[in-house]
Amino acid sequence: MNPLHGGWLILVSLVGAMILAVARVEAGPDWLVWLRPDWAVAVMFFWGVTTPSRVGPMSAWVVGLFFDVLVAGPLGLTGICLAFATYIAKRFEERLSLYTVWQQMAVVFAIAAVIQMVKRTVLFLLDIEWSAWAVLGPTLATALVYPLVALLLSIAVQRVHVQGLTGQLGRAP
Amino acid sequence: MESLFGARQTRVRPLLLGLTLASCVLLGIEKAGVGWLLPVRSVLATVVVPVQYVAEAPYRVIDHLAEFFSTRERLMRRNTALERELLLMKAETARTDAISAENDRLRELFNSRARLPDDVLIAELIEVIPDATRQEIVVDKGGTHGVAVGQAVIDSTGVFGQVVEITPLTSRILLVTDPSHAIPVQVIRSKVFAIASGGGRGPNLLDDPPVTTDIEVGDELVSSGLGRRFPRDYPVGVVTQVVKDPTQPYAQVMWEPSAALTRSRDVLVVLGERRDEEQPEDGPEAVAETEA
Repeated sequence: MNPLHGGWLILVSLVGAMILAVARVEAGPDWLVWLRPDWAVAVMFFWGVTTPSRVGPMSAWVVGLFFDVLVAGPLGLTGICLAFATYIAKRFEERLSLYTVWQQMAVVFAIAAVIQMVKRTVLFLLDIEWSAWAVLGPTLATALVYPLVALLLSIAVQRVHVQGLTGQLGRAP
Repeated sequence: MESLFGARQTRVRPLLLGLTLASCVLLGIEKAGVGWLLPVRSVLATVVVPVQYVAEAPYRVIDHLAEFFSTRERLMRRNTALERELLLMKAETARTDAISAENDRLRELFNSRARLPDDVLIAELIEVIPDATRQEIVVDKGGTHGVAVGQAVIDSTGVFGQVVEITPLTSRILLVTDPSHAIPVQVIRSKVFAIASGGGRGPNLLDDPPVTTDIEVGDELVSSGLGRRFPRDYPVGVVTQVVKDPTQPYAQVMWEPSAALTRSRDVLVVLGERRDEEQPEDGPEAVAETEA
């Protein structure tokens, strides 16, 4: 009834993040392309805080490889970014799980900023154009969508029993 | 490797260092451009193909729904219009055939090789690379369909781009407007050669044409075939703005692509000239070939 002790929910949320990561926004206004959230970071950070025993840098790194191929980026780049996000989540898990979603959002903003800086710098070294907007836009967008991601995944977690939950979600009946 | 999403605790900090090192090695290999990671990429890319199809599905559904809900009357009208267009095109093709036959005879007189028609493959868009600074797409034809890196991609109105990476089932195409793309072109009116670079989200420019170059707004640019990457004489773009400052050595020439880069869902991959048994002979083109 609950394959992988709820791990399937983690997998489904990551596939969802992949689909959103390549969703086309050309139909919308022109500036929308600069505001593409880093869905992978938002989702992995959420799981890193709520189920630190199941999502760690290693699994994040492997997941990153698939994202790299999907967005035609250099292999290993998203991996190390996601590993960093889950490392922070795991390291400060006890504190972060007591934070309100808005405080977590601020942390996500900081993490996303570091990640986008690293990403664009590496891409620049690989001869892809540097752009300050490509750092700022996704950072802001990731922080803005994080409460939504956290809300949806918390609701899903309450329906599905995911093993290894901690914090408020873990205590919920 | 520990099982993915397994319940085992690991010592995190050395792990993070190890992963950073692993990423650096991978990125170093990517930077060196030796292609060692291509097999890995191919396997991973095949796994993510379903994701690409699912992400693209809403656009397909919208297209299908539009067809489904169009009235019989509208379909009939559209059919009539298409039939009329087909008739005109057939007449045009017949005329072009005669002209190209004549052209081939003339080229024979000049002792140069007759131009052969190109083999093409229809491919459908399945992903737009989600990066505002890059202009790249992924299409649903890959190595198993005969696509190879370097092949030109066109649509019904002009040059679209070129294949830069293939996996067994998909291939990635760099559009002519990508900042890292450049294509050798010729101005139809004045026969001047130039190189048309992509400008990303900014204006696309010709690469430093001398200020005395004979080029005007509205001039059509076609691929010149120099460099042997793109087939010649396909429309590339139209000149939209020319700034000539006599105190500067170069003119600033902006162009817009002819191909419907943001609207085409179907593109044609040019697999190459239909080489039957003919060998390239001596002639002006042989020089370009050896240079390339």
